[in-house]
Amino acid sequence: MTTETPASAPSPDEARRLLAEAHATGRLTTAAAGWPAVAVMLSLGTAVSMGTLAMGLTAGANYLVALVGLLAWVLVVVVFQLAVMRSTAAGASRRWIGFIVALFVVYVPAMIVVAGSQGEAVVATCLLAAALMAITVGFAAVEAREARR
Amino acid sequence: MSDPHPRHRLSEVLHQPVRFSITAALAAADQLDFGDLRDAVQVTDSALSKQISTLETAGFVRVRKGFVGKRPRTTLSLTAAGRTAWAEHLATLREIAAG
Repeated sequence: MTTETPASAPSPDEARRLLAEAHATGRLTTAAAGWPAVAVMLSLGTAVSMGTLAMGLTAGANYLVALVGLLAWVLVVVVFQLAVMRSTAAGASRRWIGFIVALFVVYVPAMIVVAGSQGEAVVATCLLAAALMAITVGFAAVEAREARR
Repeated sequence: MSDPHPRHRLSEVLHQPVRFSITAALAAADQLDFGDLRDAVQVTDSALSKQISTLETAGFVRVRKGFVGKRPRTTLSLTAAGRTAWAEHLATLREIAAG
């Protein structure tokens, strides 16, 4: 690590310009890295919420079709995430872990309910799908606010 | 004897314009892809690589190389020392700006 210092001091105006430039660069970076995360969160949340709804309200072959559709969408989102989400805004890794944990806290009981629903557990299915939607929208809104900062 | 001028607390490594922009971008991220950083800083690949080497040598930047499928991917992040140095650099600039 170096201890060298610049030979000439920046003037107060120059220092203000540098601070403004640092702020602008940071904002640009945060926005560029933040929006893909918002897209992935909304896509994943939509897939599991709508998948839960479809699986909970159907039975037999229709249930299996909904399950395959859900898995296909989750696979698409994961591939998209690996291919496109190359950069991560400050704090986004921590927020992403929070999102995944919160989603699975609801998704695991949701899968248990829909697995035995046979299309009958309408209220429980709707409540669990709504909870998945609320979690998704909440975390995506926070991420979008950070990206706009 | 009066206090030394704040410029003595500015880091020469971070004060260079391109390295200043690189550090500003990395400070706003947990990690950045090489291409995303190049777009944010608006320099050529070779100019970016050169300045990243200087920052890495100074212990301010961590470089990770990996693959996604068959495609090579380089990701960059600030080290703890880099974040501390950047915070001190900005604090000194604020002090100078305040006159």
